[in-house]
Amino acid sequence: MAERPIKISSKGISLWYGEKQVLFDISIEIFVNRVTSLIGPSGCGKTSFLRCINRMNDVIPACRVSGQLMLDGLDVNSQNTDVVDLRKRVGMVFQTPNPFPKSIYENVAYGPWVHGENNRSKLDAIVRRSLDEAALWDEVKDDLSKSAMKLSGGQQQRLCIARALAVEPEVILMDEPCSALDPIATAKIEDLMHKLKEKYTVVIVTHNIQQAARVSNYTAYFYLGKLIEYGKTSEIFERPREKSTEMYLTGRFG
Amino acid sequence: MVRETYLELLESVNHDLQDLSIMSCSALDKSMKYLESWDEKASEQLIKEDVHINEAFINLQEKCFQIIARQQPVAIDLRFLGSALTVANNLERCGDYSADIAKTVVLMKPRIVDGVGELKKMEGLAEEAIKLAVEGFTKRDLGSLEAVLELEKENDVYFGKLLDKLKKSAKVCKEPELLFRTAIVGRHLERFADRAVNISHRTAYVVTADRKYLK
Repeated sequence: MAERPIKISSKGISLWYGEKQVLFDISIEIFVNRVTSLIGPSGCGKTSFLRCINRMNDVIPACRVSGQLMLDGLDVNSQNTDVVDLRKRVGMVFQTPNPFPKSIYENVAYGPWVHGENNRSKLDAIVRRSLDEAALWDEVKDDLSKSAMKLSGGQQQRLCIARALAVEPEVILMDEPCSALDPIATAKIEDLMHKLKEKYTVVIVTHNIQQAARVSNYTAYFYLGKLIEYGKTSEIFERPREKSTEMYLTGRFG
Repeated sequence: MVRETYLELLESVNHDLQDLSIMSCSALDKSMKYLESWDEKASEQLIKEDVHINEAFINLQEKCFQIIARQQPVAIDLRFLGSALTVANNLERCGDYSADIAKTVVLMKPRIVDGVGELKKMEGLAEEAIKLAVEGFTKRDLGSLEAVLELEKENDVYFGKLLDKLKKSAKVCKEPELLFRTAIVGRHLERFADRAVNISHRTAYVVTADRKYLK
């Protein structure tokens, strides 16, 4: 299946929340500059796995991970890994847009500023590039000082994507990024994903299997904490190998 | 969270295909009966009735498009609906063959004198092949594929026998158009059985997802 270099390699990742095991021995290779969708019914572990990639599960008490997850040459789960640097390399966009209650400019400039960039002209350039890459520049270029909270839901989500892009990540994780958006805003985010993959590796969790079909190059199907099937989206959606995948995709359970 | 309405819609496509199959086979049965009895009036009526088969095909096509657009099927359901369109098209063409046979009765005088036995045999084989193929498709049963291929092969043998007989008759026949049109009727019956093979290959594609059956 490998058609290009591997960006993220998971080998035998298992995850527990306290006594409860939610991921079982997940091994998957995610390719660079591709969109990979993680799908499956609620509680299947797709979001838990997504959060393993930038160690977002660290903030959950009693969470334990075993197995190896490599980001290029970096052992993500190693105690020596700088989590702040990891999250700079692996940005995340959440289900509900969560802009800071600040201006549009400040939302985007905040990340680079935290990472030490305080040259105004450089920050200006970063803000412009990030908003441009998030397909928002043309809509807000004359209102950069306006509160981000006054943007529409779809614009806020694109602002959050711009915010993630501002620190020049290599990977963008998206956890149901369109679930709170209307069809037009959803279409804009989906178009954006196609563009983003030219520069970034994108991993998306979605409950909308048609969205997975539309936007992703690869699809991974999770069920009860296990990776059941992984392959090219075109193949998964036309001829899945596993009966369970077929049953889920065709709405016969889930 | 089973999509019951959706599954009912898919099942209704099966019913519509079975209805279309019955209409096409019935049209063939009538066309051959009228050919044998040389009933021009009934044949003219049969030609007119082909419009009902065409309408059934268009309705089924519309239903498939609606399901694809509104239910967004994937995997085996997508293969099924894509194939159902092809199966329906094959059955609609079978209806056209029956209408063409009926046109022979209207156009051709005098009646067929040679090859009736072969034509009747071919009709039986073609009808059986279509019935088996459509049943296999609606039940997603690969078991009928071999039987359909055998029926089609046997149909070809009788078509060969018909042509041999017509060739011999050509030496003495004073009505070359008679032989020509009889051969065309045979050709329609041969194509009828070919359509059954197409349908069975679609069944194989739906069940196995192997694209070799699309060629």
